[in-house]
Amino acid sequence: MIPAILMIVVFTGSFARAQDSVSREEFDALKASYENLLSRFNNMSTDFDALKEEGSTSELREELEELIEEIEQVDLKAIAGRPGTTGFLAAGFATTGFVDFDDNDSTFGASFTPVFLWKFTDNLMVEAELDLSLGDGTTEVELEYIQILYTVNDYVTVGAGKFLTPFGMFWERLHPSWINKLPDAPLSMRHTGLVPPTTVGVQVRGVIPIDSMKLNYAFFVGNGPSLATEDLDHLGNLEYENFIDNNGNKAFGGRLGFQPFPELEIGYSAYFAKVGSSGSEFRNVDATLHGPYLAYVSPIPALAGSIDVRFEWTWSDVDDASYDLGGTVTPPIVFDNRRSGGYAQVAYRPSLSGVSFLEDLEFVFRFDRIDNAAGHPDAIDRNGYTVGLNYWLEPNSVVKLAFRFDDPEGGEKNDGLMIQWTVGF
Amino acid sequence: MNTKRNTTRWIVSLSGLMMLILVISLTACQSTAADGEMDDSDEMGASEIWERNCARCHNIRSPSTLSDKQWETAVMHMRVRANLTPKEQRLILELLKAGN
Repeated sequence: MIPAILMIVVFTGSFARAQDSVSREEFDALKASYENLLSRFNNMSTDFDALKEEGSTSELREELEELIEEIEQVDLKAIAGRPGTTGFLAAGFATTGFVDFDDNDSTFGASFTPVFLWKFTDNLMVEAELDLSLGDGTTEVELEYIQILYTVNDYVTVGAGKFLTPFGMFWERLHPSWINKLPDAPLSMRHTGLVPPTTVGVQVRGVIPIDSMKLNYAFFVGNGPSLATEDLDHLGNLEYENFIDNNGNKAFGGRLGFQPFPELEIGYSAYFAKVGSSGSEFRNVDATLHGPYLAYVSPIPALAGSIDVRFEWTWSDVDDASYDLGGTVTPPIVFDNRRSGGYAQVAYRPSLSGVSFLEDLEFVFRFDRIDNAAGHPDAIDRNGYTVGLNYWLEPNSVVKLAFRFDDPEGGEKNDGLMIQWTVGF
Repeated sequence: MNTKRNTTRWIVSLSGLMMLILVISLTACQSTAADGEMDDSDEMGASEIWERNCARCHNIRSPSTLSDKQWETAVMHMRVRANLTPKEQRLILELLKAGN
């Protein structure tokens, strides 16, 4: 019985093992199949990586090509817009306005004042300003200045041509209408012969830093003014439009300015000239001008704004002379030819008020005066009080409304309303 | 006439004196307020130099109003007109270019 059972068990076990095992042929076939699949997988993986890599490079290449094309376009545009190596800049200002004074009919007006600047190197530049304004039925063109400038070193710059006279500060720094805080110039700065607006000649100038302070200087020599000897209204005045010198003597002068700190500048100017024409009886007449100036500009948080204070005064002393107006006046006119004039101006802008409308407003007050020569047959001393309200449309564009109260010492008053709109560019 | 002239001279002298007093007073206020605010960063220095020098006569303009090349010309022009030192010229120019 037991052997029979063992036989059954062994037979069953053998049968079971026989069911789990494979034949050699089967094994070889399976192995070949497996190796085939492995090979195909490896190939596919390689292809996939290759395809993947190829795809990214292609995209990158496309992007790179687009970028290069874009750069080339930008480069072409930059080259097209590049004005060579010369740095040229057209600046200036445009002015339009309305005036209504007692002694004249009210009128609109306009002027255009381009300023051309060329920078050739870090040392050499040319600057020129034209003034195109409307006259009586004509357009008047004036060459305000044309100057070649060369920077010799950090402390010395040489300028030659027709330049704004470094005398005081108004003509050099404040005369553009978008910078001048009132529509008109102070009495002493108009073409009254008191302050020289421009000089034809040569100047040497520079600035010397002294710790945190600055000292600026300017010395010049030029044609100088001529003496008015024929026109009764301007008799004895200095005429600065003496573009071709009337004598062999040259005027000379200069200005020293000192900035103890950035907000304040104080200075003094002087000017000496022989003013009579060669060969005339006035050939030995000398003129001396001198005077101080002050500028203080600073934000004042306590006033919620910024304040701009200017003061400038000039004394003029021309030698006494006899004027017979070409033999038409007997006896000749003789007077003490000493004159003076200047202005004091305060402007306040509530630029720190936090209210945008107020921040664009500016309040201005100016006192100006001219003292004409005592004993002059047709000279009237004159004071002016001008109040102004400005509204800044943009940092470079302002609308000004001002009223001038005239206070002549004799003669008729000439009060006036001025409105001006100006743009600096 | 002489009396009026003398009066005017007094007015002029007085207004000059008042200007001076006003400036000294304002300066005193300013220096007191600014004592604690002085900074030492170059960038702030350049910005202050730009503002103080340019705003002394006119409003300052956005750097974007001119190109870098144009600013080089404008700042060179202003170096002469506004009495800038070479260092001030360089710092202002760098600031304008950086903001462009």
